[in-house]
Amino acid sequence: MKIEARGIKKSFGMPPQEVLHGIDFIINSGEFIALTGRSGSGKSTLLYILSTLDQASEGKVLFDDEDASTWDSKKVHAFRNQKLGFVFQFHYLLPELSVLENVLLPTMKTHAEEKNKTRAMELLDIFGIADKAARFSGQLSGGEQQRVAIARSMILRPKILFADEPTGNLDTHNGDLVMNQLKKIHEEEKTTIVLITHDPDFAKLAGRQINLIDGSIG
Amino acid sequence: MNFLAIRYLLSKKKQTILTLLGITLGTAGYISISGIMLGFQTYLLDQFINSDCHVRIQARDEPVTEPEVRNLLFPEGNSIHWITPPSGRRGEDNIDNVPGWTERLSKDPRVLAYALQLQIPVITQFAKVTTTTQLIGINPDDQLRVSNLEPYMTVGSFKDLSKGANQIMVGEALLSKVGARIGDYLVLSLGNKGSQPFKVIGTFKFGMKRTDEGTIYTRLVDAQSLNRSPSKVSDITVKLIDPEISLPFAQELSAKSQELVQSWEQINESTLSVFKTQDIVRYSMTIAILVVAGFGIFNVLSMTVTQKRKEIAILRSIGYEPFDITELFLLQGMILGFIGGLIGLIIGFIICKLLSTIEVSPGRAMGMGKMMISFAPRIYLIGFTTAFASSAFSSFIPARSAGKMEPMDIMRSD
Repeated sequence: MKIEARGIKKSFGMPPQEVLHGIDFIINSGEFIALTGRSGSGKSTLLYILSTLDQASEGKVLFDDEDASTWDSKKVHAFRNQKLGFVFQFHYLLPELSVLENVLLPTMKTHAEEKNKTRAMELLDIFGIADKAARFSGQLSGGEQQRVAIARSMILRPKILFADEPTGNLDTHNGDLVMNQLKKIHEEEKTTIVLITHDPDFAKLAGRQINLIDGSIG
Repeated sequence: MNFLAIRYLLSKKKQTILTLLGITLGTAGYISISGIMLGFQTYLLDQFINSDCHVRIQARDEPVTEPEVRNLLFPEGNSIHWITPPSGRRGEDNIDNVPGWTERLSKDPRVLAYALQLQIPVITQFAKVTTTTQLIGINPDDQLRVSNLEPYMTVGSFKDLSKGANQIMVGEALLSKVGARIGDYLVLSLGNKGSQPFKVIGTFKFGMKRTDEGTIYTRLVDAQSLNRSPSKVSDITVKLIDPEISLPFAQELSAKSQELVQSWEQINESTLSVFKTQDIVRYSMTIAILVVAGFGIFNVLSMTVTQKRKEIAILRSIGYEPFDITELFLLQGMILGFIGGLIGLIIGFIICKLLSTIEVSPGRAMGMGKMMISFAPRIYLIGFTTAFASSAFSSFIPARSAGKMEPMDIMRSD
């Protein structure tokens, strides 16, 4: 799925302080993009606008030439559920659910968990945590929890995966593991990936880098 | 979201159990107290309506008022000044036109039955014990058509009164008070009108000390004979086909006659006002359940919403809509209200069952010697509905605030 950002501006507070100053770019279907830049450069803000979690003050985001700002709430939520995947710096797993249930969480929205159980187990197997499917998230290490979060984001075969510093809280070993898995997903499932990272080595794994400097593309 | 709501509740067992306990105890308390109060009320109403009569016609005995006398003596006189204003009571202690009344009541299609009575205060003596009582002369067959007296008989039957002259039925408490037994003769006196011995052939127990200690039933003719007033009638008791129309029926008759006609509601007005107070207490309890259950759930869910902000953010980001989030928390409150209310009903029912086996002391409100407890379905319906509705209502506020949370606001604040 192609993403197009047209003149994205974002302001916060009163008086309004602009943090994104008219961002324009196109991410083609199946691309792996790394959004880089210093802290406060507006990477996360841009990612959340691109992923429909936030709205631009000006400008628009188009998915396959369709303006997301014209969609009603129901369509936006269905789009997030069916077409997008999210991996955040913190895993945000639900501690009340088992690993398998956490992975199946997006499918529960449409009561399709039974249909996707095999897929969930396959993903857990790919990420090397199939043996921990019945455990609760509190019983896993940080790296394992982040891998569960990635599996959860991939359960419905999203067209686009947004990852906001997924390795930010992991040690080098687990960080490498997570990045290799993202790369593998990109290659095997042809998923468009938009990744925010501070790590230049991880950024190099992406096909293209978009560097933000003070709210503008550098 | 049912699955997730249940998981959330199970994950914080202590809070869930404490909240459930609040709802359960509130509901059970309401059920048992309502059962006691309504049981008592039902018992008394049964006595008012079925054991006595729906409408009572009596000789009017009223105080004399100044305007009444003025209008009668000086219809045109607006400037009358009394040296001593008129006072005293007027009226008769017997009904004037008994045949007229009986004809009227016989023809009225609303009347099921009626019975004539002569009520006179008598001095009752047995050996050296003397007490004042109310002698009620009745025609047993007529009276039994009006009042459901037989269930209160402890020895004999009211019909036995018809089998002979000068026989009486007395309250168990009266018999015990004077130290007499069945078959003994009590001497009933009417001052200067003389006295006659009456044989005790049966006893009754209404459960009201005043009645059981101070009432004697005999045949109407025997009472009239003792009173030396053949054909005198002081009361006519009426049973209607529909007791609900007692008040308008009594008002209608009262407006057309000189006699005092009162419905059972008017006769027992003061007791019925006590019922109203009891009802206020019961409804106050309902509000108390509402507040206790409501606050418990409101607190628990408000805390949960705050603790689950990150989870709410992730649920919204993976496609769950605001309504889903509201539903998730609303369901928790509804589940607590449903289960708590249900357990409360069961515990309340068990308490009521246990209470209904308790023997209460004579003279207290009771039916067959046991505590009267109401198991009316509406008590259970109100108890459960209140618990459930208050739980749902109080969970709606935190649930709605959870539904309004935007994932970006949560992530930025974290």
